[in-house]
Amino acid sequence: MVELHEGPVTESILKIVLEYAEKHNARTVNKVSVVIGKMTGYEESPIRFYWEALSSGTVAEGAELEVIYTPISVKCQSCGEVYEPEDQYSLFCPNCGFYGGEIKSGKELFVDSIEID
Amino acid sequence: MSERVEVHQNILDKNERIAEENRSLFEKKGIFVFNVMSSPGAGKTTFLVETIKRLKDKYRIGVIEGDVSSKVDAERIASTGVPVVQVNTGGACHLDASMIQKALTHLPIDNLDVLIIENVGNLVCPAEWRLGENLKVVLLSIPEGDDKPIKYPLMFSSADILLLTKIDLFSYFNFNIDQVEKIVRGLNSNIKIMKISSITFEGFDEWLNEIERRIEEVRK
Repeated sequence: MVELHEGPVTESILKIVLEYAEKHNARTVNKVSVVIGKMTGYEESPIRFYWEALSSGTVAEGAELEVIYTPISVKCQSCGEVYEPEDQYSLFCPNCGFYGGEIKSGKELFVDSIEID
Repeated sequence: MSERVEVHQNILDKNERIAEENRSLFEKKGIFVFNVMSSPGAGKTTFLVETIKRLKDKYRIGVIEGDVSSKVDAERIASTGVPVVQVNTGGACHLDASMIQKALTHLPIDNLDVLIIENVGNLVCPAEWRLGENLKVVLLSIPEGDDKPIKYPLMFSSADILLLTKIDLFSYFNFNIDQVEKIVRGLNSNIKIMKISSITFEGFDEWLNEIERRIEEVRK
């Protein structure tokens, strides 16, 4: 089976979580919060699918996974308007219709925090 | 009572670290590295075979060939006589920096001027996995359609050079080059865009001049 691109990313999330859990002598991990910019295109449902499969048998098994999406913010290259498109496929300026510009945010991808016992 | 631990760690951090190790090794050895990406069937391998034939008398070239499985492409590259390592990602849809690090142990890196990495055919995943390369080249073939930059903006926003390939087929397709250029520059104002054909060799001189200029810049 060819992996979805959420596979390796979820693997990285789990590695970071286990590393921090071990550093803090966690018996269990109750919750994991990750921040994902909408520009990256990573979808929540396959991340959850991989999370369940990969975390099974580790201290993070059964942990609640919170996925916080940050909006895309674009500064239009033509008129300078700063706008927040719905997703990465609709980077058309609502003011002048021009496509694209400087991506000011929406590429975030990090583990924010974990809750442990 | 549950304890909250702040993490704030980038999910791709580990890859970034290894990519940085690769980059510094390439710099030390004076190797110029370019990463070639596109969807499957855009003509990466044919393009690279023709490029290698024209550069191999001037530079010592090595190739890392990424594919989900099979070694068909590696055999085609090997026919040019340059050293090539096949990396089968075993299902993964892109190459990552650690795969490059391992592949390097099979290449004569003390005797290379240029390393070409042919990534897995995919316009989604390879965009975010830095390998330690100097340059990212994306191919978009005319038959694929002019909507690709809107569908895969991240790939086009991170590339240094966009090659519109199979330009010899232009008259058969309804492909709006001006529109593509406008959209891609909207994502990436620094990108260099060229039109080429690996069959008629239209645009090949311009591409070779550009890549040689970039190679010389790094080797200086």
